Amino acid sequence: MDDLFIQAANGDKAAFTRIYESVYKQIYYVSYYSLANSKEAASAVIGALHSAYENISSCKSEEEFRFLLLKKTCDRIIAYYREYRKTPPEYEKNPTFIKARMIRLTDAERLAVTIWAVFGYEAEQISAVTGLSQDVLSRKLESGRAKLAEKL
Amino acid sequence: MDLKETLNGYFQRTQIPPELVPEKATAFIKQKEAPKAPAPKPEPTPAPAPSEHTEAETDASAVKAEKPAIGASAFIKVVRHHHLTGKEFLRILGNSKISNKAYQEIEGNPGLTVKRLIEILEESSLTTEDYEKLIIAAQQTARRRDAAKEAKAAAAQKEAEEPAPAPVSKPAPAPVQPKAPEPADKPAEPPTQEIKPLPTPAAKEEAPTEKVEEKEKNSPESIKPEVQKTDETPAAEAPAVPTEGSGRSPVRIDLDDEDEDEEDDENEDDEKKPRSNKKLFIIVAVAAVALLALSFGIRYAISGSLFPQGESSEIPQVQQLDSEGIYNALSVLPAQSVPAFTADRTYKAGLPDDESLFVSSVVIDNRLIFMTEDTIYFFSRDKGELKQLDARRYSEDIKLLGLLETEGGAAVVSEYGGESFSFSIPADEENGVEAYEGEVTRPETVIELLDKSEPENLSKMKKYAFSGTLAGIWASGGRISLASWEGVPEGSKAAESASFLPYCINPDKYKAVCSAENVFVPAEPSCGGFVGIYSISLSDGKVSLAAAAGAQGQLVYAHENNIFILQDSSLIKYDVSDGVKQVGNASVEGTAAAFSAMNVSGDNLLVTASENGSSALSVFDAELNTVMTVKEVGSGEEVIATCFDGSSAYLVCQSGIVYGIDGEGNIIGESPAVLSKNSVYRFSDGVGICVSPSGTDEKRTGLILSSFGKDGSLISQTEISSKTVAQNALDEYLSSPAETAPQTIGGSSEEGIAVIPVIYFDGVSQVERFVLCSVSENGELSLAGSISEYDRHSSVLLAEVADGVIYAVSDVRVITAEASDGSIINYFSVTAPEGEYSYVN
Repeated sequence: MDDLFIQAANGDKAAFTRIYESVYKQIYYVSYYSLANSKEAASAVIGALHSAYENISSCKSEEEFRFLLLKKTCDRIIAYYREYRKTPPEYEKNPTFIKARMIRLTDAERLAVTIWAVFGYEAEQISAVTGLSQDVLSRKLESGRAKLAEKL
Repeated sequence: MDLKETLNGYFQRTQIPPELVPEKATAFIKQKEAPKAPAPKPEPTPAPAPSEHTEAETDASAVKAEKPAIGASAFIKVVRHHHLTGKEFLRILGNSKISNKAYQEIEGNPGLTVKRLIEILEESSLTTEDYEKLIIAAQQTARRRDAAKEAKAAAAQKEAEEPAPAPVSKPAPAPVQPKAPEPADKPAEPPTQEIKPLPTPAAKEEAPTEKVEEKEKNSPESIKPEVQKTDETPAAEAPAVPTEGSGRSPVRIDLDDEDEDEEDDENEDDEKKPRSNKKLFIIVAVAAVALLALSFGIRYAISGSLFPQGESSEIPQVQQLDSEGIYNALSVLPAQSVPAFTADRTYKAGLPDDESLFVSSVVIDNRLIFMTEDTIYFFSRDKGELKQLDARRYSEDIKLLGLLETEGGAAVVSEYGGESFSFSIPADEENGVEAYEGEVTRPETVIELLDKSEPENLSKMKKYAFSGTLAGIWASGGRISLASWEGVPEGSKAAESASFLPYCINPDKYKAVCSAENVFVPAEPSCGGFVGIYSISLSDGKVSLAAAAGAQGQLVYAHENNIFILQDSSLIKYDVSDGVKQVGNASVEGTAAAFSAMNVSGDNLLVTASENGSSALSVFDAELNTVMTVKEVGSGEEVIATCFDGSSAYLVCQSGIVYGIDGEGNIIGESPAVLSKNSVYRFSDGVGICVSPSGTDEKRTGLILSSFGKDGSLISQTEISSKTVAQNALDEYLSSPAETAPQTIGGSSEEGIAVIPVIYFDGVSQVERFVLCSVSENGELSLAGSISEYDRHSSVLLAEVADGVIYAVSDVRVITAEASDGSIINYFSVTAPEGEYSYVN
């Protein structure tokens, strides 16, 4: 185990902050481009961070903690997706070009493509963090990438 | 550059919210003491593997176990412990950092279980610190409430012990004291009707728990108060005498109620309730006596009489002022923000009128027009063949409100901040007026009247701009009429009437300012603002305008050629059959409230209003003469909405009690019409269709399609199901935009078909489906096929049925299909416009 992670796991705030600092932007990109707006995206990341911190003792390394944080974020993203089925999401008024393109993808396509782009994961690893089936994710990655490639 | 790099290039330009900055995001961590040992690490645990991630883990509810000790559960426990009401709970929550989405879900789903409530809170962004604050707020609220109760009780006790002031001789509402001695002197009564010992407290006392319906249904006695029609009964006639023990059968509907959460509380809570209610109602009753006494005292002091001075005094006094006088009277008053103008339509009795004035799509002659959030699309149509003619994306400063179907045509309604208006006032030395140059920018409501034969043709379009924010719009009798609201504009001046009075700009850019003679100003205006009333003749394009000024708590309502404005206690009637003419005004019983509503039944207009802690119904004839008033309905209850069924009015209370008042002024024990909260699509004059979820809230497996008759009674039901087996977190969750926006359903009573847009995830793809449903003349439903699109995510999903063709519309494509069997005719792409459309230039 690396020193930084040991310190973080022992409650060293500075160490934990440094680990978070190394990954938070990527986590936010996944959250923001998977969800409807920045408010929900930030809320998902904050919630995931609290949850992951509570469970830091289940991790053996910094890498595992990052994975856990991503997994917790995905849990929240999927919870939002379920909410979207009940009430339509509130998209941002003036989305950027890429945000507007991402909105056109289906929920599963967005999640799969953003994790693939940001973390370089393929369907198997994305399945591990999202809980969605690998088979489905393979198709979603393919269709999502094809749709984006058309427009970019 | 490959796609991954391109995407990351874009992603890295994303702005990160400040709350995620490391120092801030990790602020919740409390620094522990320096570690003594290398690491308190447990046994090595296996690395996260795909197989470890179960369905349950992806479910939001799984997250809650990891929450800190002070969290949603603790907060809810405190709320329940202190018996906070739903209103108090929502107020506390509304002041927290809870996300709008979570708040709206809680507010909009009063039937939430405690479990689900906790889940929503845990899924929200609230932190431990937030929950600590919430708990403190809940405790403070409870303390304040208890203190207020004690103070009120003490005051009421004191009042009750003191002899009532002389003018108070009217029988007081005595819900729990029906045998309270009546004052000796009964003064002459105004021509109003009064209901008696009120049903609420008694009903509540008898059935303090949720299970009150059965009891109420079995005791259908009703009050029959003496109805005094003004044309029959002289004003000096004796007042109605309260009937003992009456009115214990208010109708009950399934309402949100914080008590639901308390149902599973321990028995001792239930035992406490009746006592506390009784105490409360005694207090309310005594307070009502005091208020009544005070009101009579004030009237006596002002007019020297205890009672209204007959019919003529019912007409509110108005001021005939010139424009400067109007400005001077209004500009010093606060201008409220845009009031809610339209009545709460959450509850309906029977089959409602069309729920929305605006539609998202229109089929006229050989055109199909539909709109997304900011774009209008125009297609030519020849049966099942379509061709996109134009698309207009409105610029950011314009808010597209909707399409309006007119007689044979359509209009686009939008609003924007308005253009600036510069004016100069010359110096007038004689009167000490200095030269002034000013500028005002006033919000405008814009109507673009589309040409019937070529709606896409901009040169044939007629644009009208009206000052103010839209309050209501109606199309009938060859006219479009609308009401708008505006406060006295900042920077306006009394000497320039165009800087503050309502105006209209016609297609020829001619600006007509409302003349001062057409402005209704009450004797004592309470608000610095105007309701503008405008009417466009579709035949000659002429516009007429008038305005009502200076009042708060407003409501507008239109019926055929009349528009009614309720402001404070004044009711103003306009005739828009030929221009805009004020044709009458009257005083209603009470003042306009959030639950107020109006309805025309036959020749009569029914108006509900709030009156000294209770509610009142006023009924007027076509000339606004008072036919009858029913006062003191639901004393002590918080009325939240009104709905009408012909000449009957229903007042829905927060507690779940519903007071029905029939056309004769009797309190109705049981509603002949079914009251519901469903959003209903009006399929024909006698049949309504409604879409609602089936299965649990967490795992909805389908949608129930129901048809209703004219009286709101259920005719038929059928289920739309995805018929998939859940494998993933996103599976089996059917929803439909028609659940909240019934106008997205396409229907044709001639064809006997309704098309319902549905969205779900089938385990592999997100599916957008248009479900075809046969609807017989008597409302029987049967599924008749579907049109499906896979891996689509459209911002708009709606249907139209016309001339035997179904138009299944999304913002990506339009599919045409035979209405008879759903067989596809063709697919047509929807092309988004590249530039922006702005009517300013």
